[in-house]
Order: sequence, then C-alpha cells, then structure tokens
Amino acid sequence: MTAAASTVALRRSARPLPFRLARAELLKVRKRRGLVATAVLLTVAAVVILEVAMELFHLSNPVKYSAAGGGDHFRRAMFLLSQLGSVAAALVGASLGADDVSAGVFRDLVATGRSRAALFAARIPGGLAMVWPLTAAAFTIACLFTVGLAGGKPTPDTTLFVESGLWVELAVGLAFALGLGLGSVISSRAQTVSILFGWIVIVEPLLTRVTALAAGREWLLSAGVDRLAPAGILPARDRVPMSLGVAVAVTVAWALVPLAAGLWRTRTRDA
Amino acid sequence: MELALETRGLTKRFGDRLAVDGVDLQVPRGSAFGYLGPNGAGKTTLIRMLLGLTRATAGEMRVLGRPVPAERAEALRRVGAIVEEPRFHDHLTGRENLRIVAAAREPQAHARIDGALQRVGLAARADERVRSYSQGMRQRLGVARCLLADPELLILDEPTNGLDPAGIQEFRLFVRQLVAEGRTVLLSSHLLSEVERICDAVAIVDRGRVVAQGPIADLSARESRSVLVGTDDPERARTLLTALGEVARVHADGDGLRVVLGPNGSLERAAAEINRLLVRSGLAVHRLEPQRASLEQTFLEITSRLEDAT
Repeated sequence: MTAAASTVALRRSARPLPFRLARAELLKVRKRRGLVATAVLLTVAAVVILEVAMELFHLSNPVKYSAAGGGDHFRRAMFLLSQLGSVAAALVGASLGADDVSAGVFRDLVATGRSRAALFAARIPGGLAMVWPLTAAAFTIACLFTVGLAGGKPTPDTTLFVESGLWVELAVGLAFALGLGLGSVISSRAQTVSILFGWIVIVEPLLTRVTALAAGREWLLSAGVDRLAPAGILPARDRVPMSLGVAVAVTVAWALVPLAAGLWRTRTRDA
Repeated sequence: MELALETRGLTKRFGDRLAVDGVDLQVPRGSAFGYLGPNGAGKTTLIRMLLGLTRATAGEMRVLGRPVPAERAEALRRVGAIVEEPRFHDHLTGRENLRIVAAAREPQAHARIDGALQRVGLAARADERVRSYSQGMRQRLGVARCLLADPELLILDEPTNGLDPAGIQEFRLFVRQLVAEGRTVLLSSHLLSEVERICDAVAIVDRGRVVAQGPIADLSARESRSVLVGTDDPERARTLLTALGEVARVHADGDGLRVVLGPNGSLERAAAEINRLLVRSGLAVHRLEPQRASLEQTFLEITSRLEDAT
C-alpha cells in the first residue's frame, strides 16, 4: 500500500459508523452510470433545456414569446423541477431500497453483525446526498436564468427564491423516501419504479383533479406538498383546499409510513 | 477443548418440513471443520442461522463463545462468511465492493482492504468492475471480503463450487494457511473428498440431523474398517462370520462379502482370524482384502444405513 493510500484508509477508519455507512450507500448509487445520467437529465438538464428553449423562442419571436427569465418562467421551472426531480429522487430511492437484496449482498452486510436498522437508516442520508445536491444545482441554474434573462420583467424576491428552493428539496426528499420505502419492501427496482412512476406521474395528478373525492384528496402526497408551496409559485386556486396543519400531517405521513414499512421489511426478511 | 462454535438442539422448521433437526455441533478452535452432507441436508440453513440471516425455531448457538442472537453483533465481529455463492454489486469494482462491507464492519476494516486483495491475488484487478470477473475471481473476492473481519472464524459454504482444479488446489492450501495462523474454518460441502483433504474434523449431516461427528481419522477408523472376502460358499461364510466377535455386520458386495468390523482391534489380525475360521470350516478362500474406507465410503455407508432404517 502506498503512503497516500494508507493515509486515505486511516482517514476513512476514523469516521463515525453512520457516516461510513451513508458514504457506502452513496457509492452504490453514484456508480450506477445509467441512474446518475437519468437523474441529471431529469434535474439539471431538464431545467437547462427548458430555459434555453424558452430563450430561443424569445429570440426567434420576441413579440410572441417573452424572455426566458423573470417570475413567470421561474414558476414554470419550479413546477418542472418538483415533478421531474421527484421522479429522479424516486428512482434513486428505489435503487437504494432494492439493490442490496436483489444483488444478493444484503446477507453479507447482515453477516457482519451490523444491525439491520443501521443498514437501512444509512440509505437515507446516502441517497439524499445524491438527490439534494443535484436538485440544488438545477435550482441554482433556474435562479440564474430567472435573473440573468429577465429582460426587464419582474424577478422573484429573495424570500421567494429561498422558500422555493426549500420547497423543491422537500418535494424530492419525499419522493426519495417513498422510493426507498417501497423499494425496501418490494426488493425489485423495476417494479418499484413502475409503481412509483405510475403513481407520481399519472394517478396522483388525476386524483388531485377529481373534485368528487372532496376531503379525500387531502390525503394525496401532491396535495400536501402543493399546499406547502410558496404562494408565489403555486396560487391558492391551483391547490386542493386544506389547512396548513393537515398539509404538514399528510406530508409527514407520506415520509414516515413508507420508511417505517421499509425498515420493518429490512428487519424481518430472511437475508 | 475451547470451541469456536457450539450448537445445542438447533432446529429450523419451514412449515411442516424440518430443515435442521436438533443439531448439536462442536467446532474446536484452530481447526478446519467439515460440515458434510448431501444437497438438501440443511447445511446452508444451519449457516444462515449462525449468521443471523434467518431465525432458529429452537435451540441454542454460541459463536466464538458468545450467545447468538443475544450477542450477535459482538459474536460476528470476528467472523467472515461466504454463504452459498459469493454475490456482489456487479456495477462496482472489486475494491469498491470491499469498501461497502468494510463500512459495516469495525473502523480498521478499511485499512485491511489492500492486504486482503493482495492475499487472494486480486490486487492487480481490484479496480475492474466485478461484472468482468470470472467465477474463480468472485470466489477469491468473497474470501477477501471475509478477511476484512480479521476473522477468528471463517464460515465457508460450498466454497469450491465453480472453481477449476487448480483453483481448488489453491483454495485447499489457503484454508490450511488460515488454520496454521490459528483461525478456525467451518467448511460446508457435499464434496466428501474435498472435506477429507482439507479438514481435521467433520460432522456428517443427513436430512437435517448430525449423524456422526469427530476427527476424520477417528470417524473413518470407527466406521469403515472392513474385509472383502471371496469364498466358494458365500451363504455359509456369511453365517460363520456373523458370529465372529469382532464383526459388526456382513453384507454382499459384488461376488463376495464385505465384513464390516467393530470399532476395536487390529484390521490385519481380524483378517487373519476370518481366514483361519473359514479354512478350518472347510471353505476355499480366494480373496481376502483388508480395507480402510475413505470418508466418502463412510459417509455413503452412514446415509444409506439411515435410508434402510427409514
């Protein structure tokens, strides 16, 4: 072993267990080229493509199309990022939840004597360490376009920028938790992704619009998340009517229930 | 005798089927111990219980002196294991796969990665994706993963599966090296000759039950000393020999008889006694062949006897 390698090994040894486990989880996902490419495409690339396309439209016909920046385009970018970012986060969560079992490595991790709860818990920071920075990068790009290409249009204030950033991170964090929990229960990435994709992209948006469900719509994840969106991003008329307290309760439930189910399955399954 | 592994009445039931049936196992420290049985005998299930991968239905286990599952984490701290075929994240390199498991072990495990790769001869290809590894390389990487624990006990489940003859030979030497370092190796296998060559002691398991256990030399000597006899009147010879003191049983073997001896006395002296008895009784003896059976013959004898009894 070289002196440099030895120093690296010693430095890794000195880190506390939760940090080491989370880092190992991050390693698993960041080395999946297809997954990383998809996540980048759905976050950073999606925002860049949207903004560049808008600007090109504007340049080609300034009368018909306004500049790519400004408050109205910022709202559009945030909506896109919350939707596609959630899909990316669900993919990462599903991968972390299912990969150890489907690869047959879970039993080797359990055989180290490490508690199953610790192995499961490490997936949360490990996955968020990939999902949140990607979303933050996409958000930053959206902010830069918003201000830089405003072309005289009004831009959001600092408060709205900050609130929007936190809200988008909340939305993708919830989708990650959902993917992780379901992936840990099902142990199949493909099945988990299919179910979540169908739920996030098709079923929830449809159910949100079914007014006949009345208060039942309050229990949808997107209803809770939308209610917590800054007013400057999503006006009240576009949301399912519900109190802030119910929105917080629904959001917390959508985070905790899948994670609890995933933890339970991880602790009880035959490895 | 200090034990690396001990089970008492260990039982695992899947519905109506008993996979492991009241197993009492004693594995001495610093030995290579074979857990030998045909496919489906419950070997892997026992290993999975020892490692906490599945729960026991009944019974007690102690690993490196600590009760499992009560002190499982501490018990497994110095245990390395390969269960069935070694599996990995194929999209990661060999080294990265070891980093994943090292993270779950004690802090010093990271510093052992390079040494473990070196020891199994994978250092040069450690940074290639496991997807490109041969079966033999995966097997070696599995052993390297075990070494991250600096193990006092290695549990290897059918470790030579998929290895070529050179790989098997290398693996045997490797296990003996580990034992020479004072480590204990529990090796489960259905390959009888393999266990006989590598291990010091063995437990023979059949249908979830341990049917014989002890040092290989003792087991072979105790169970499988026999004399092959050829005479002109096998039926009469059988009657005569069954009454002989040292004889455990007599059964037909091809054209002749196999005279299985009891646990005591010399094999050569018993052969002479058999010859004397048959000649004095007026029978012509044309074959007299003392045999010490391999463990494989003992194993087949034990399991076939059990089948006869059921």
